[in-house]
Amino acid sequence: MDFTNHKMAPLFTINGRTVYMTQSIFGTWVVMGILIAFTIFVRIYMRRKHFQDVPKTGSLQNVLELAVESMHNMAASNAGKDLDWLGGYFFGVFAYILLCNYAPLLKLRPPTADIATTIPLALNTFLLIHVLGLVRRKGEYLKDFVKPVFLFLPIHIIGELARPLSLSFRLFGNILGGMIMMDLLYISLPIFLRIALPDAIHLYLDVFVGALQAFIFSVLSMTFIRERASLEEE
Amino acid sequence: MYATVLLEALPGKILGFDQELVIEVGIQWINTIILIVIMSKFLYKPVKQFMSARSERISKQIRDAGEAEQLAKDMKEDYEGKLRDIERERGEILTVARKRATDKTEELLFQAREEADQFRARAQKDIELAEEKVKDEMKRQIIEISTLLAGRFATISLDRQTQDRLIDEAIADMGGVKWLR
Repeated sequence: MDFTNHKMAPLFTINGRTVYMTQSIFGTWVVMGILIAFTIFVRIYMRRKHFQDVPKTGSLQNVLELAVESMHNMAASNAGKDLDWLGGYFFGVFAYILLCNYAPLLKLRPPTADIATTIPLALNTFLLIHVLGLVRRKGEYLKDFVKPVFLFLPIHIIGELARPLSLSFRLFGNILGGMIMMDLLYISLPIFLRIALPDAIHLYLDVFVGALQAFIFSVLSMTFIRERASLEEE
Repeated sequence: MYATVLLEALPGKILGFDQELVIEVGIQWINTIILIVIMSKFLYKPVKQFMSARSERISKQIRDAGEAEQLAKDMKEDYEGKLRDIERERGEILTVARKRATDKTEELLFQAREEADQFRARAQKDIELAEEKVKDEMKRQIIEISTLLAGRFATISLDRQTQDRLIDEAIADMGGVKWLR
């Protein structure tokens, strides 16, 4: 039983130290390849005028429009109407996390079960919170750190630093936990029960939890951004 | 068991805060940004633009339809107004025409009555003249006959009976003598 993130092949060397392609980097590239290929396919599909004013139910256009509109509405309701343009960013984030979480269905180690994958996502959110807050609210943004009195500044700073940590570790922990539980289940089950029973567990731990974690990460990020950067009144 | 798994995994690494993690975070950060930019710019944005353009087009069509409906309503109202005007004018024209016709009829009737009266008066006058003429003629004939009778009385001696017969004959010769009554 091995849950480690294996090194698969050397990539490059920095200061005499070899950097390897790990399983999670490989998984990320596979996910990227799938998503980029899908994007190219959709662009070709659109360019050939397959998009219609009234899409057929269940068609690719229908599903895409549903996804895009849902993400736009989610951004508008969670991040604020003035920040609904973040829907594009979170569309990418959601699709990326979702496919990373579903990687076990392709017999890959989920990239999100590696903290090196979740930290950049959380750092993006952290940067968006503070850069947008500073650019959009200026002095008001800074005043939030000394509310109600100046003594609360360290607590606010710790609180802000905790956000990316909680975001990245929540996602990492949930996916790694699911992966470990699945493996333990396979080991602990008698052979004759390994045929159908794990499918139900896969459905919950990989499919349901995978979608739920992608959703939680996106919604929490939007909510954090709204708290610091939205100009909308509560 | 969970702790044992994690301990056993240390050589392969599940979680380790070292320089490798920093480099891997860097690599994954670049991967993440590339993917998100591609998906956002080349997938989300075009689909969103297509949807916005469609919404705008449909809104415009609804707006145009509303304007066309308003225009049609205005035109209908305008035509109905014109029709009402035409109806009113028709009524006025008919009233005037009827009045004129009535006046003309009355005038014609009056003229006809007048002409008839004149004609009747003239005919009456002609009748009277003709009567006068006939009377004069009768008088003249009576005088002639009387003269003739007187001449006969004077030349021939007559008995009473013959005298009466002659008078009767004279009267019968004169025809109806109603004008004398």
